[in-house]
Amino acid sequence: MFIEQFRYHPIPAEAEALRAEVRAFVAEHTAHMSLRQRADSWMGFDADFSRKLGERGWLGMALPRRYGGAEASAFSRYVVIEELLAAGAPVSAHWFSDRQSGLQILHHGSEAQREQFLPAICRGECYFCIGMSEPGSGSDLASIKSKAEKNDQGWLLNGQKVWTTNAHRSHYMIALVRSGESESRHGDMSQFIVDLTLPGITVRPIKDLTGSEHFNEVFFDNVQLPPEALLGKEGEGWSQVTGELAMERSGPERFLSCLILMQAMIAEIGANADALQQREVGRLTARLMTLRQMSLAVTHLLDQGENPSVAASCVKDLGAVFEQELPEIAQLLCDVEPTQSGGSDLAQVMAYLTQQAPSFSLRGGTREILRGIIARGLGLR
Amino acid sequence: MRELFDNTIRAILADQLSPEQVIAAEGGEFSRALWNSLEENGVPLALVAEDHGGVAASLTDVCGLIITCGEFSAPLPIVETMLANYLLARKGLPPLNGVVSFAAGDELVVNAGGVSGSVANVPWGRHADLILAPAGQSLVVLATGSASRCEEMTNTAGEARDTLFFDGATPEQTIVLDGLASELLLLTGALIRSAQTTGAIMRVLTLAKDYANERVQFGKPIGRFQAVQHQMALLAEQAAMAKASCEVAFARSAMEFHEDSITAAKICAADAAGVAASVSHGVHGAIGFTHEYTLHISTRRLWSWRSEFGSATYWCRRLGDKVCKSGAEQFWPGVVEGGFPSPV
Repeated sequence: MFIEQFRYHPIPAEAEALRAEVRAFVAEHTAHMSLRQRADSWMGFDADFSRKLGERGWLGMALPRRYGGAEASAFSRYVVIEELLAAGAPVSAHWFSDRQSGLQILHHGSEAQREQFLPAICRGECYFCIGMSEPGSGSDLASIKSKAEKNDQGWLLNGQKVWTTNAHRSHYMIALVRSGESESRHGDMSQFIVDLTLPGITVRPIKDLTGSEHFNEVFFDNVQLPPEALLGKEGEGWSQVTGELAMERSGPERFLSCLILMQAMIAEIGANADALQQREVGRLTARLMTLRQMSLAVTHLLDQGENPSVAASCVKDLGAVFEQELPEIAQLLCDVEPTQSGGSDLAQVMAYLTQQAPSFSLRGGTREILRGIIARGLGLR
Repeated sequence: MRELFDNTIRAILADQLSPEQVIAAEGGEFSRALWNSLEENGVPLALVAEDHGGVAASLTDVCGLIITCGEFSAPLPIVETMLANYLLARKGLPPLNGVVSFAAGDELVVNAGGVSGSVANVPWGRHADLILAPAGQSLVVLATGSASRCEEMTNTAGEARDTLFFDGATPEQTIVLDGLASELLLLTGALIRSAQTTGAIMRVLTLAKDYANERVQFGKPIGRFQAVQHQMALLAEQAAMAKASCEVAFARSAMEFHEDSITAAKICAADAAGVAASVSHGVHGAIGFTHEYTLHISTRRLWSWRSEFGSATYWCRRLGDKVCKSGAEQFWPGVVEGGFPSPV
């Protein structure tokens, strides 16, 4: 059973050796940021910062050297990204290409696609977004309707994506769309690399409840894709996406979104915590330490080429519960009124993350979907 | 070696320990035949060096074995004996013969007249031949035969948790440590109870899963209802968290007991225990509340084991105090290193 997969897999020494350098670099480049800005976690966008990471060789680290990568283990990337996330560095620009699009192209792409995209991803110059959800297809992803029809110039794409994070500032989208007729619900989908500058594409940001613009709706109106836009095999889109989701669900971004708040809360409490503060801070710390080890165990499995989708869902759901509880516990332990503007750092971070928290159990798969996957992994259904 | 241990203990317990025997043990019987079998297979000496008759296994090697003992509700202090011998082995001392237990409460006084005072909450104290107990910086080995009185008590699962009284007893051995002996025994106890708790959680998860697939209501197995599935998913997540935290605690304690990893394991396992008992009973309905059905054998142990050798509240407060005292800047480095400096 998947529970057996949670063994102890410490970060190997050669990956751990990176940490001091990364931590110093990140400290230097986040010194000017307010605590509230750092609470943006992986939603903070800064292309200059992404290029600097690329210069350091800290993007696309797992990719082969011939494409600009470092052929490093998944643990090396883990050290880099957890240090970036813990400091609240602005990683959003390159986030999706570094986490999954690069690997997706490496695993399923043609040689030409690898040569075209991977070096630019490693330089921090080429940003991807992920086109999955549609207006009528959220949790029920297999019901998507956007369609690419084969024609003599390649593929003609029509339809709409929604909730696409960063579509308004990305160069490409890896889109899952229907590409044929099939008896099976999962059988006629393919992935395409869509150049977002093509005619017929409209990207419209959707303001979230805080008024920020992170996600978008994207319209495809007779978009002519070249034949080489197809990623992987025609009709294999569903299984390709399933593999991608395991990478998406087990990383440290699934439990570190509120780390800045945890630190601000500890600073506010000070050295002489009362009994309730001790208990809650201790419990959060124990869970965070364990979640991180669970995430490392899944990283090990991914590094071994396995597809630990149930274990990854476990990490994501537990992580979301943890992240969502943190603002609530901060409110319980600190007698502070949250403020949108003005007020202390803690008051602002608390206000911001309290409002962001509902998204933690939506993005990357809702808790209902994740728990369904876990139940199936147990052998129910 | 780990796989061999896992398979051996599972084979012995599956073959020689029935739910009826576990219930009989609650009535005060000692499973002598099972003990002899475990002894013949070298379990008490697993962590002891070869020149002392053991196989020099590491704590990581026995993590699964201890989880399995919890899964089967093994009603004897086999894990306590194994760890007591390990503590002695780390001091270069030979293992003890017989049934050994230990407790962490520091209430004994050692002076010229011998050892006096009481040792509370001794697991299986009435059945033990010898116990390890703290007296300040001394770890004393006492024969239970030298106790002046044994006050019998049981936990929620009817497992013996006795108080032994000593009045000028002569210790079998006295080992002087660098720090408090109670601290060493508390960490040892917390480590093994975390693993046993995890094992009991795995058992109730299996029982609830099987029942959900079998029990038919409204024309289909109840495991097909989303409400039941999601409860089961919560149980599985907690089981995974308990398991993962134990693996870390055992692996990191291979050289020295790793306090904060053991703390995390005790907290995660204890929190998981409550969820596991609640969900597994909910899924089973009334049948799970009967004495005849075996679910309670594990859930009643969960309700005790989670608090033995320090409750979640105790360990949470201890860790939280350290975290707050080390300050916000030290928080992330502490998480990465898996430990926080102790308050001076």
